[in-house]
Amino acid sequence: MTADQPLPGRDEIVNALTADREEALAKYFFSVQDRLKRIVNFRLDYRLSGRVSESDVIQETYVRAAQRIDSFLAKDDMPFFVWLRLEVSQKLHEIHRHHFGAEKRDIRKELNLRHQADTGRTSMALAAHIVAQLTSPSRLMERAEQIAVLEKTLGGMNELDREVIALRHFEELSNIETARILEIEPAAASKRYLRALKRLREIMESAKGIS
Amino acid sequence: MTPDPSKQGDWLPKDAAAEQESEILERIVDEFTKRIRAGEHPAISEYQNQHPNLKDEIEDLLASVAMIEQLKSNPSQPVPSHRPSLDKVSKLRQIGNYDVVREIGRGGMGVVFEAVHESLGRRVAIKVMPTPLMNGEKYVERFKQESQAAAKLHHTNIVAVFGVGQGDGYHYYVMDLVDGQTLSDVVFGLANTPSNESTKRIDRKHFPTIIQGTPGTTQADISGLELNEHVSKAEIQNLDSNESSASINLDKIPIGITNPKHFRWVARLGSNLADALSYAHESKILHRDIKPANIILDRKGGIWITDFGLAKDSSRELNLTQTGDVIGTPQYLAPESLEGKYDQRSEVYCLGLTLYELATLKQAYPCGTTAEVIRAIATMTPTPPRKVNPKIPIDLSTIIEKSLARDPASRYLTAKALRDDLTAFVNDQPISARPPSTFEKITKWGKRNPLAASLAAVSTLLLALVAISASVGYLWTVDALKKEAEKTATLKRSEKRMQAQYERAEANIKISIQAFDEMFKQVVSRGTATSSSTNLNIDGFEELMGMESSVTKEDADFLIKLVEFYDQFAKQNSDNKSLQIESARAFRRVANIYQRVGEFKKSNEAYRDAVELYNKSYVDSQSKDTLISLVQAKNELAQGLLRDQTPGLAKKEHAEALALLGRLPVNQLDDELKLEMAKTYSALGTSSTWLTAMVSSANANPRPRMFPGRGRFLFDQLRGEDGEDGSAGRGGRGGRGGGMPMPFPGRMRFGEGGRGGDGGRGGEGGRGGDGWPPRERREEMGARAGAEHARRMGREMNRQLGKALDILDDLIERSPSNLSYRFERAKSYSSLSASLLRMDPERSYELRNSAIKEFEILAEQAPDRADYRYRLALACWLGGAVNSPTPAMETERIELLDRSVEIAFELTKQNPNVPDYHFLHGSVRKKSAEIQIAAKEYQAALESIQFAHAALEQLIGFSPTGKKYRNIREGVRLEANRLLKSCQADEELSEEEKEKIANSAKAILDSLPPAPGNAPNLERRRPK
Repeated sequence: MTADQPLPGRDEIVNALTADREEALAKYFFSVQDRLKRIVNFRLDYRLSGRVSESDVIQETYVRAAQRIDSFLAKDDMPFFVWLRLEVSQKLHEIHRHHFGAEKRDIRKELNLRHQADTGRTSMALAAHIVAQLTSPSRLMERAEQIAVLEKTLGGMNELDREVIALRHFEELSNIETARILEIEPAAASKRYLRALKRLREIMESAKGIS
Repeated sequence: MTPDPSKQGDWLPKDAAAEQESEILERIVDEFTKRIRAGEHPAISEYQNQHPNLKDEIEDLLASVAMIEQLKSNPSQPVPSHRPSLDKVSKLRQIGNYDVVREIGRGGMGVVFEAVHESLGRRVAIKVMPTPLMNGEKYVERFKQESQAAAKLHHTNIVAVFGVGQGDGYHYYVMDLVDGQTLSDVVFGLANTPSNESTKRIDRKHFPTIIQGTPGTTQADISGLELNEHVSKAEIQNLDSNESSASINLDKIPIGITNPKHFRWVARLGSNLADALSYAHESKILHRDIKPANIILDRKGGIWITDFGLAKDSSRELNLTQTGDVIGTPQYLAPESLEGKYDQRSEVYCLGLTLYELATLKQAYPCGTTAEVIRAIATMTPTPPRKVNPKIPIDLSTIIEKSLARDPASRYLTAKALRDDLTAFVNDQPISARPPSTFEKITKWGKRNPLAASLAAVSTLLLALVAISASVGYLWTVDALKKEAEKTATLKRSEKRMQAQYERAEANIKISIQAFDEMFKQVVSRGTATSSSTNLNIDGFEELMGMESSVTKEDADFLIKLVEFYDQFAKQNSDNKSLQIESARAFRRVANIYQRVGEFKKSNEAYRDAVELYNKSYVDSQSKDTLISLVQAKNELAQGLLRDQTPGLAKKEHAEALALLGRLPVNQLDDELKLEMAKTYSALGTSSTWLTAMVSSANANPRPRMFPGRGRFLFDQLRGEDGEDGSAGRGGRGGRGGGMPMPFPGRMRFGEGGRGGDGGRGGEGGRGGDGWPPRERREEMGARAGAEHARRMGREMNRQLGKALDILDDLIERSPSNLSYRFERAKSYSSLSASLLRMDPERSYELRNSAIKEFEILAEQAPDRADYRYRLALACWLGGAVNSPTPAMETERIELLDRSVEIAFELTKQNPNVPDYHFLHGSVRKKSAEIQIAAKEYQAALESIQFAHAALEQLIGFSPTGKKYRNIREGVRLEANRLLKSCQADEELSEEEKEKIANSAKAILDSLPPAPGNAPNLERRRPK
């Protein structure tokens, strides 16, 4: 499904980074590049499509990560991929702020509130993601139905459930990573995830007119 | 942060069995997901059989996973999950009763095989598609029904369908084997052949090389082509042999795009295709996906439409862009399809696109992201074919343009009609389509395309999602976390986490709100004269312009949807201190939207809520930003109150706003606040203007009047006041116009100082009704009754506007280059000039000239600001519309009017989607017509009326129910009537001229029957 290589454990990465920062970072970064791209693709504001490319974001993230390796090393229990995702998400913030920030003084305040403010875009991103797939009239109409169903479905779910689904399916993260990002226990994350899927199904079933 | 292992148990099900169950399910879901992503089609039942006790759970979970994984797919990685399953399909050796000979093509949606019927020996092409995981049975059922209908089609230009079927995890479609290439390939080949060849031929030898961008023409290359589904066996043999003699036999077809024969060829193909479509339509079958990639040119030059009955599940379309990226785009979509409408005229459109491409070798809508293409389709008309390639014969170009008309009703209504015109072109006979005349173009140029609404429709989906996420999700998250907190023993830790989540939820909400604001701004700035770069805050003067005109019906619907969101948001969060500002802003948006759609009561309620929240927040924070918002909201509320005919209350709001600003220590009153202060004074003055105008006009006009609340121009008001004029304004303004006649004093609720209005009415009640008293009489009435009050109001207004001007002068002195200060000042000049029109005509004249001069400077310094020019035109119009104090000034007046006509016309051309501009244009043309009739310039008058009529149609197009447009409508009728009468009475005109003009005027009158309840005796009202 992807060219990604599984990452070694944190200790091995830390050792490699200590030995040769740049080379090690390049190696590990490259090995998860596709996963990071998927995250960028999903979280990048739909209004920026055409102006900012995924590769640009990835490149800039790499530069940023290279400058901030210490922040990774300083956090003892931070998994490498989760850290990279955080860097991606910070980069995305910078980009969003650059494009939309000039007119909004609020956004700066918001960003101070919390680093991971992007999660609120989950639904937006979901919808944009799907709308971006529409290709032919029949397809458009067909999808419109599906989106309508999804819309209803999401309406019955809470933010955290939605986010769990987004992380697991749109960012294709593992349960451990998901738990880490949401700052909940893996077992709780799994429980939540299963519950969310079930809920999705219930609502889907009750929604009339599914083709 | 690592999860605390000692606490993990809190999160796990108490019951060990349940715990184990969860683990099993997680594992199953994980594996199932991975398999789907790897392109497999795992069966849910497979897992159910392994765990019969979890049958239902597994069904629920995996069905959800399948849905999500299908809904998402990565646009930058074309068909990543399809390809492997296609690989699986491509291993098929036997499909139904057919033996597979070889794979001849592959696309995003399936694999095409050449196959031979095992007993009949018939050679066919079979398209095999993987059955979707979700609702596979229903899907295949529908596919079968549609394909079977398509199988009944027998036409020389339609690829015959022999049958359909299904196998394990796939379904298929058996059709005639056509030996040729798709039109998209043909166009691509032609467009990429060196241009110095006068006659180009499609050479199969190098053609695939171009597409691939790499040398080599093996079968593997072909199967790599996403769209090359129709490549036949014969072609592949040709490719394999790689001989020049294998060139597709198109020699007889002249396809150099400078060669006139090329266009005949295009027309002939088009005529065949239209004939085929016409036949299908008569059989009640729509193709649903007409595009070059679904049309095959065979080796003998025959043309075939393929994939009838397949369109419903047509998957992604792939286009090679310049950078080599593959992006799916909806390029072959008729504009109305964005709204979900699709009929035979849509197929005429799509065929038109195909012909466009063949004739120009360019796509009518170029590649881009989906959003870009949808936007282009919804808002733009393709470059006329002859602009792309001037060699295209006019008639062919006309046919193509007509097929591509944005409005389906303006296209060929049937494929047959298109065919007939194409055939006529081929035979050198006259065609039925005509290039639009200049006048038609003028009428059409601004015709707002109804499809911008479809963009809104897409946004509405996004909108709903965000609305849910922000309002519901937020509460739920907090709620869920609270419950979790209750469960866990370590309350403190949970609280901390809760706080974090809470903050995040808040941040999320703010971002969602921001997304909404984005949409709000987009819609709002689209409809108004104000450029999007200006602050949304609407100053008083602008409000008076009749804001509801600024919103088209589609936008109004969209805005009302936004209201639901903002309203819900504001109500849910107004108790939350950290979201107080956002809630206030949300209320303000709700209010603003209601004001735009003319719901003043609701608007004012929401404004009050907003003001209350801003006020609370300001008391706590004493922040300058909040103060500005509070002042602005109060001023906006005041405007709403004015519209709701409670000018006294309006004045109170303005006064309170001023008091808030006045309470600040002088050193805190910076320029930004001063500007707000000036604006408030100006608004206060203007509302006084309104009162004054109201009082004098009530006195001057004996007819029962409705308060000028329903979308009137201040200038109409002023013109009415002038007495001599008012031809335009009166029709829509008086008790007749609004459909709800209401005696003026009864509607007035003066909060303060308004008694003069009632007093003024004293002796006049009985006089309403018939006729239009002579000017002297009216002046006498006005003077007698309301003069004192008017003077008082006038003085007050003068004082307020004077204060505004003082502040602005001071600001401008210190920052002469700040255009917004100057703009504000020029507007104040205008207001003051308008209000002094009667009381002090000389000063009014001076101020008007100052305003014009200022607006001129502004327009010059910022030529891209349409709103500056709009104001300039308004100021000129004000000058041109009122009667001149002296006859010597009459020339100047006409010059000003001409100037406003010129600017208004230009504005409508440049910004066809802004109703305000059309309204202005209609109004100035109407006024011109009046003057031209008086000057016996009948032909010019006729043109002016026609322009006003065109503007009226635009406005009706924006909002068919807009009450406001009656004003122009009645004006157009009135002037047309007068033109008719005047020219008939004119003895200097020849009978022939009379008849010509009279006929045109009658035609306009016929198209505008008197509105019910709105049929004044036009003739009697105009003594002339």
